[in-house]
Formats: sequence, C-alpha cells, structure tokens
Amino acid sequence: MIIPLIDSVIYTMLAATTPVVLAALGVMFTNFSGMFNIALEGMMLVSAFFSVFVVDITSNLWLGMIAGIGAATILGLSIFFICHYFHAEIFIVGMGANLIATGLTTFMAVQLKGSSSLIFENVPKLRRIAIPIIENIPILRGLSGHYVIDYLAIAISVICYILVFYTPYGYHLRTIGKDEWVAKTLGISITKHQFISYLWCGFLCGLGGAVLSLPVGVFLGGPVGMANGRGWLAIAVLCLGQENPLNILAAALFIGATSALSDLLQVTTSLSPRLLMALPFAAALIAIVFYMAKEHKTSLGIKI
Amino acid sequence: MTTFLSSLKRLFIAILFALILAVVIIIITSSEPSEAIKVFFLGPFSNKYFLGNMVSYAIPLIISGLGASIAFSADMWNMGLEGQLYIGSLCGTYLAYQMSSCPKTIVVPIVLMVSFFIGGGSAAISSYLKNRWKINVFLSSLLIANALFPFVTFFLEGPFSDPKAGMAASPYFNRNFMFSKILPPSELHSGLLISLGLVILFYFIMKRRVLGYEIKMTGENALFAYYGGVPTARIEMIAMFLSGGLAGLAGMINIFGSTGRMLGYMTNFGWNGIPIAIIARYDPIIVVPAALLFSFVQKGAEAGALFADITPEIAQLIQATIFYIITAEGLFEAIGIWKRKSSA
Repeated sequence: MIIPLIDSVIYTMLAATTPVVLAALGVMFTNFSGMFNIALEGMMLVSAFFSVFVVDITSNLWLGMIAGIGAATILGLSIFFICHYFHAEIFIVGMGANLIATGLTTFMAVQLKGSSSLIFENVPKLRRIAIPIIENIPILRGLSGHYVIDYLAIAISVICYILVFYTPYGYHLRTIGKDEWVAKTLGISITKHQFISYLWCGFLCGLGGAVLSLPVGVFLGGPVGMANGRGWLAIAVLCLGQENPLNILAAALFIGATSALSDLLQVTTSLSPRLLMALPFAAALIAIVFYMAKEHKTSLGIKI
Repeated sequence: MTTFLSSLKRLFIAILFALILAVVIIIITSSEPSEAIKVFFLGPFSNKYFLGNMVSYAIPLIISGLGASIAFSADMWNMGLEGQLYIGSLCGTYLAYQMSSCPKTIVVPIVLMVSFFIGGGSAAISSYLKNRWKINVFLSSLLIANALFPFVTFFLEGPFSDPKAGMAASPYFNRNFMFSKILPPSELHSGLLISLGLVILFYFIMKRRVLGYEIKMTGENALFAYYGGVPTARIEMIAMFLSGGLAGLAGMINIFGSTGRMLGYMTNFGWNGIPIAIIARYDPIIVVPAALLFSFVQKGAEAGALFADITPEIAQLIQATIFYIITAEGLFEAIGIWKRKSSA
C-alpha cells in the first residue's frame, strides 16, 4: 500500500517540478542581466496556447513546441524592446505582458473555437520514456516513465550550471549581475547580454508552457488560466535558489514536492481540493521567510 | 501642478490608444465593422440604462485604483489587491448574512469597516515581512494573494455557498441592506458618493496632510526620509494597510451596490486597480477618469456583444495593452505626443 503511494508522490513531484524549474532558470538569466522579467506567467500561457493550437492543426509535436517557444520569445523580446528603446518601466510592462497574454489567448480561443477553455482531440500523445532498470525497483519507480521534457529540464539545469560557472559567457553574465558599472568598464556589452538573456527566458518559458498543455491536449483560458500561478512560484524559487542553477533545481523540487503533497492529501484525506491548491503558495512563502531569517540575505534585486 | 498636467497627459494618451486599438481590433474581427464600431463607442452612452451601468462598474475600480496609488506612492508594490479584495468581501458578506435581522444603519457601517480591516490586515502582512526579514513586498503580496484565491473559493463552494446558484457564490443577504439606486433602470447606486468621498479624502490626505507628505517622501527615497526623522517602517505599514483596506472596501461596496452576494469570480477589479493607478500617476483625482476609461472599454465591448458581433473578450485585451504601453514614454516622444525632457 505504502510503496505505490511513494512511487506516485515521486512521480507527481517530478512532473510538477518541470514547468517551475524551466521558468525559474529563464528568469535567472534576466535577473543576472539586470532586467528582471516578471512576465513568466504570460510567457508560459502564450506558449501553452500556441503549442497546443499548432499541434492541433499540423499534428506535429515538434512544430507545436517550436511555435510555443517562438510565441514566448516574441512576447519576451517585445518587453525587452519596449523597455530598452522606449524607456518603459520593466516592472509595469511585465505586469502588462501577463495581462496581455491572458487577454490575447482568451480572445483568440473564443474567436477561433468559441470557448475560452478548449479540448483538442487530434493532438498526438507525447511518448513516455521508461528507464529500463529503474522502472522495476519499487521506490525509484517514480523516476521512470516521464515525458522527454521532464528529463530535459533536469539536463538543462545542469547545462545552465556549467554555462553560468564555467564559461566566459557565464562569467560576463555574473559580472553584470554583481555590478553593471564594473562590467561596462571591462567592455562587456550590457545590452547584448540583456537581449541574449531574454532569448534564454523565452526559450525556457516556452518549453515550460508547452509542457503544461501538450501532454493533456487541453488549453484553459480565463482569469485563472493554464499557468495557474506557476510563473509566480518560479520567482519564489529564484528567491530561494539565488544565483545557482542547481540550487534553483533543488528549490523547484521542493515546490514540486508540496504540489505532490497537496495531490496526495486530496486522495487520502477529506480535505477540500480547493483548499489544498493554496498549499504550494503558502509553502513557498514560509520557505522564503525561513530562508531569509536564517541567511540574512537581501531579497531579489528588483530595482523599482 | 506639473505632475497633475503630466498625469492628465498620460490619461489622454491612454484614451487615444484605447480608441485606436479598439477600432483596429474591431475592423480585423468584425464582419460589419462600421456598425460594430458605432455600437462600441456610442453603446455605453446611448441611454440612461447603459450610462448608469458604466458609471456603476467604475465605482469599485475607482476605489481599488485609489488603493493601488497609495501603496505605490510609498514604493510598496502591492500586487495582492485582488486577493485582499476577495478576502475582505468574503468576510463582509458573511457578516452581513449573519446580521440579517439588524437594522441597515448598523449593519452597513460595521460590514464596511470589517472588510476594510480584513483587507488591510492581509496587506499589512507583506509590509511586516519586509520590515522584519527584508522580503520583497511584490513577491510576498503576490504569493499571499495566490494562496487566498483557492481559500476564498473553497468557502464559496463549500461552507458558505448557495446550493441553488449552480456556481461558486454565497447566498443572498437581506435585500434591505442594499444601497439605494440613483438612476432607476440602471444599476448605478449610492456607493458612487462613497467612492467620490474617498477620492476627495485621499486627495486631501496626499496633498495637504503630513501623512501624505511622509508617504510620498518614503516612496521617493526611504533612506533620506528615515534620515529626516520619518518613521519609514510605520509609514510603509500604514500605506499598505490603507491600500489593502481600500481593496476590501471596493469589493464590498460593489456587493452592497449591485450583486447582493459574493460571486466566485469577480471581474478583475483588484488587478485593474494597478493600471488605473499607473495611468493616473498616483494622483487621486485622475483615478476617476482613468477608472471611467476602463469601465467604458468593458461596457462598450459588452454592448458590442449584444448588438453587433464583437467578442466581449476584446475589453480585456484593450485594457491589457494600455497597461503594456502606458509607461513607454520614449515611444510617445518618438511619435511626438510626449515632450522630450529638457536637459535629461
């Protein structure tokens, strides 16, 4: 009884971690470059919509994923251009981008299909990857049978770690994060790095959004939406993981664990599922309070 | 006076932009563009009923816009207005439902006070977290609000729900408690007077009182204000409390005025307070026309859905785009609306 339960908790935890860790890594790059992007929620939402929509038309998963990443990147770059060339406040543009994403996806869904929540029937199933030996070991079984993006997310965190700490690019990026003035005197182009970091953010949030809608073939528009606060959880994860991609992965696993716990409590106890939906947010806040109280670190460098 | 003028200027840009965008979207999507554009622009003004409903929709927007501006003036980025509005109006509605046998003159003030204090209290938590552990207000208020949505929906679906409603909604409280209607066929209610009273009160506080000066000084430069003897921690707490309180009040006044019960999904009154405050550049007087603009876009789209083939969702799209573009002063410089800042 207890072992299948543990299996399913580990499985849900990994699945819930993927979108959060991808978005958190995306925002990490923009945080380094000094242009903190808060439009994760919106970027994930447009990617979730366009990826499933394109797959529905073409029945090609790769094209859908590219469409999702493209849509998220376009939204991200529009934020970058408005802020860089027209001196808008990044923060307010980010909030606006979140609202635009909700408005645009809901509007398009209603205009094209007549309802804000859509079920796409001819979306091909994503293949689950079973890992040969692990899938037979009782407690580790939950690690096997995920979609390819879930494994990719963990690989991407490791790649980001190497990129940030062991390459010249990462060294430049961290210099900008520490002190823009020093970076300027060293001849590092800040604008170029901000642009690249928005490309990163678009790519990663696009993947994170596609993983929300593609496996189920459903899009939920409207006020709550498909992203359902995951973009904000990603910012909380960045706050916990600070500047290290592996710490970010660990923090995202913690948030994933609370999601899995809330799913588990839904099944095993009579607590209301609605009430349990608040659990990841409350847990994130409490974790940040404990972290801050212990480390005496200052919060994110949101400059506004 | 110059800040007042630049607020006004930003408002005009927002209006211009909203109108152009509405025309473009309607031309793209509608099969009879000229008819749809006419309905969109003139619909809300066509008769007493639509006009009253438009003004009535602006009432909670005015109050939540005020709430956002007072927090932003103190540089406290309160992004939890929607959550504070939810929890404040839930507690207020519950109290009004329980006190159904008491006279109206007692119930209404008590309920409004309770909504104010509950909303304010939930906002003040963020300010406490900031003072105690330097936790970003933006992040903590968002996380608290996101935790509050399912919490409130739980009550509206379970313990405090109306089984006959068929959706997440509380039962109706005593109909006698409702505000009186001003313009009979429409929904316009006497909450308008409360909201305008609040605008004048906050204008007075922000421009003529020491508290307003201290709030603005803390917002401009907290260290300098602290050095000058302003108790910045307390000022930030007060600004956050007033902001959340106004959000709670906005929800409750809307319930007393038009719905008579709490509905599970309100129409973004809290979120829209944020762009309204930014369009108005935190000026309490300009909040009123900014809120009317948002309400006009909403009601124009609704009229368009009734009498022409406009999708009502364009309202949200237009409102979001205004928000997106409103701080891009360089864009307006480039097309010559905004005057280039001298010497800068």
